[in-house]
Amino acid sequence: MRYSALSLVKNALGRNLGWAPVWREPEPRPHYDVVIVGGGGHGLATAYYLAREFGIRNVAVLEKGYLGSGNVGRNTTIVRSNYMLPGNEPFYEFSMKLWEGLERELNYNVMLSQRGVMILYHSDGERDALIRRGNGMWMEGVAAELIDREGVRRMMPFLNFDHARFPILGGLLQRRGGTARHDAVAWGYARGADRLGVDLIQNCEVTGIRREAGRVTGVETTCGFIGCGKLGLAAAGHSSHVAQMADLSLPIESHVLQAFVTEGLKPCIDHVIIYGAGHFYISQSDKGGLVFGGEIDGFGSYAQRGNLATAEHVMEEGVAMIPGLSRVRVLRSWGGVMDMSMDGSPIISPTPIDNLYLNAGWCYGGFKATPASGFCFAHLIAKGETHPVARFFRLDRFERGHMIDEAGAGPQPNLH
Amino acid sequence: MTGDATRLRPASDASDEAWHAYVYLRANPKGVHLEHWQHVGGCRRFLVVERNTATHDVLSVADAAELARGGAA
Repeated sequence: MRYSALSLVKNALGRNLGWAPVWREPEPRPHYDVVIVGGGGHGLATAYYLAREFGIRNVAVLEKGYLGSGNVGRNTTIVRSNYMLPGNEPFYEFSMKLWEGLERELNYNVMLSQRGVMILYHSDGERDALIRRGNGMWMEGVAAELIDREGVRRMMPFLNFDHARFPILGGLLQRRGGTARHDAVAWGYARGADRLGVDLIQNCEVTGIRREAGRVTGVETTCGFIGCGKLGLAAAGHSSHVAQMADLSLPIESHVLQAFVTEGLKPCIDHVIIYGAGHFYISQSDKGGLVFGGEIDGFGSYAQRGNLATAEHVMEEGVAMIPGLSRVRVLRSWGGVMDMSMDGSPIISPTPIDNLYLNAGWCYGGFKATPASGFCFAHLIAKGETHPVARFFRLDRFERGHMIDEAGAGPQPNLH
Repeated sequence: MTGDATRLRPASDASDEAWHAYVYLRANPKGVHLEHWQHVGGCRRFLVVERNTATHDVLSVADAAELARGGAA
């Protein structure tokens, strides 16, 4: 069913009994042209664009839990394209443009809210670094604005401008950045892919990758063997785990990142605000809760939960930036498992195995990339060549010495 | 946490492939793993910690320097 004002009125008059399930729950067929491992945002978007843009409709997405049960539903929903390096920025801007047309494209409300993303600075050095980043954005045609202290104060009067150690001197603003409803993104792509004939197979865990003569012939799963012409891995968080089934060792460590949400408040924080003195980011959901997070815990983990030392550190940063937060009660915290790559940038790439493609290494920036990641991965699978904006995200960049190290931290995955 | 303790530094004249594997590639197991940690809150020694990445259980701890010298720490 196509959603419209008319369909809403009709169903409201019919006591909302007329709504049909949004996607089918098919039994897996014995063979598909393309199988995608991972029914999260990126896997579903890949399947959608394969069918929509590249005409490949004999596609299955295999998900070990339920659709969108991983990181696409565990992030802080921030959407932005304020990267600095030429390997990154065109890709994230491509993603931003897809976000801007996504609701019309999917006929689904993903609640994109371009409320502006502000990164604060606290010293002359940080200001210079942000100017450099802003110039990097302008060079790729993306607007960035340097806002002075009084400008920031007009937008966000509740900030701690006179902090003794980290006074707020200004910020870099991307007005087009903002937030989107994370689950709706997964659901919208799932519905779109299903309508184009893609089989979305839930509760189906891949346990092995079968190969003959150096090519993938299919996957062993908890629902039996499923053959495929091409295989795409989009299992970020567990990429190493899945790639190991094809004897691939990846430049990735899995780490846990925590996120937090408070009780619902009246509208008070209008933007996404990123604290430059540590790593802390906050926005207010449409339900009223303040959604925030900080850095990864720093040790390898597949546990989807973090420890209290990091939780305390995140709270301290939040209260240092907005003293009023000390009066707000935290409702929930949770953790997600991140593919931390060795340079902090993602991988959308062919692999040494001919018909196996990899989408991995999203660190904690995967949500904003969902549309472009799906588009570029579908482009790679369909055409066998990388999409121009994702051409730097190759798996072999590490051996060739072409890292995309936005943070300048070197091959230390827990520092990106 | 300073990283994977199962990687052994190759000889300085080892192949590019060996150095690439040492610097960039990780087994990243879901389960029992050996890692280097530093005891910053106490003795400041570097330690080799055997830990389960799926449950966070710590199974054993050894002094990294003594282990490297071949001693049972």
